[in-house]
Amino acid sequence: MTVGTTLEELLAWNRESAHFWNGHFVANPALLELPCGIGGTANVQELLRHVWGVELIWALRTAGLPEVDRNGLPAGPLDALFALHLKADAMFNGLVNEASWNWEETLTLDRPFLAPELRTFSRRKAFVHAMLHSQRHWAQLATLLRVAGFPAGFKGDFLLSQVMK
Amino acid sequence: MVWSQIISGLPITDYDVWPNGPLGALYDLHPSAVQNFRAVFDNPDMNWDEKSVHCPWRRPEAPKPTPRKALAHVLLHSQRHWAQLSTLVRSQGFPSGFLGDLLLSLALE
Repeated sequence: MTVGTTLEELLAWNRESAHFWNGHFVANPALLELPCGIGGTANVQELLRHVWGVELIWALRTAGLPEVDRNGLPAGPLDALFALHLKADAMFNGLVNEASWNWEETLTLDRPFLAPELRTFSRRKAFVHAMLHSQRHWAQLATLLRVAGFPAGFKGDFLLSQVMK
Repeated sequence: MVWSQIISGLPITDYDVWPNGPLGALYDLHPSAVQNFRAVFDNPDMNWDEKSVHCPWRRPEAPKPTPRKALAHVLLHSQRHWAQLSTLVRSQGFPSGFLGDLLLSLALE
C-alpha cells in the first residue's frame, strides 16, 4: 500500500488537465488573445506555450535527452502547442512504465536562477516539478479567466479528478 | 485543518467557528493540521486505500474517496492556491518573491 501519490497518477492528472484546457480553447479560441502576465507571458496563448513547452523540456531532461531550444518552440497555433504536451506526455509515460528506470539518479542543471545546493536533483524531483508546474499555472489561468468574465469550469481540485479512487 | 480532521476521523471544526484572524490565529490552523497528519501517518492501522472518507458537505450517496486521495487533494489544494495568491499580490504591485516551483524547494532531492 502506497500512501503517497504515484508518478503514474500525477501524470494521469496532468493529462486530464491538459485535455480539459485544450478542449476549452478549441471551443473558445478568442480567449487565447486575452492579456495574461503569468509566467512572463503576454497572453493566454503564450502561457499555454510556456506550460506545455516546459513539460517537453523537462521530459527531455528527465529522459537524459538533448534539450530543445525554448526559442524554437512554436508560438502557435493551439494544436501545435498541444502537441508539445502530447510529446512530453508520451515521453514521461514511457519512463514511468520502464521498470528499470532509475528515478533516484541525479541530474545537474547549472543555471544562475538555481542556488548551488539546488542544481543537482533526482529524476523523480524533475518529474514531480514538471507535473506541479503545470497544475500551478492551470490554477492561475482558471482565476485569470474567471476574473476576466470567462469562467472555464475547470475542476482543478485533485478530489474532483478521475485519477485515483 | 478540516481535511486533516476528516482523514483522521476527528471531530470537524465547523467553518462558522474558524477564526477570521488575526494572522497568528489563522497560521495556527496549519501546525494543528500538520500535527494531525503526522499522527495519522504513524497509525499502523490506517487503511489508506479504503473508500472511507466522509465529507460532510457532500451528498450521502456521493462516492467516498480513499484517505490517500484526500491527502493528495489537500496537499495539492494548498499549492494551487499559493500559486494564485502569488499572482494576485504581484499583479497588485506587491511581488512576494514566493518560489513556488518544487525545483526550488529543499523538500525533495
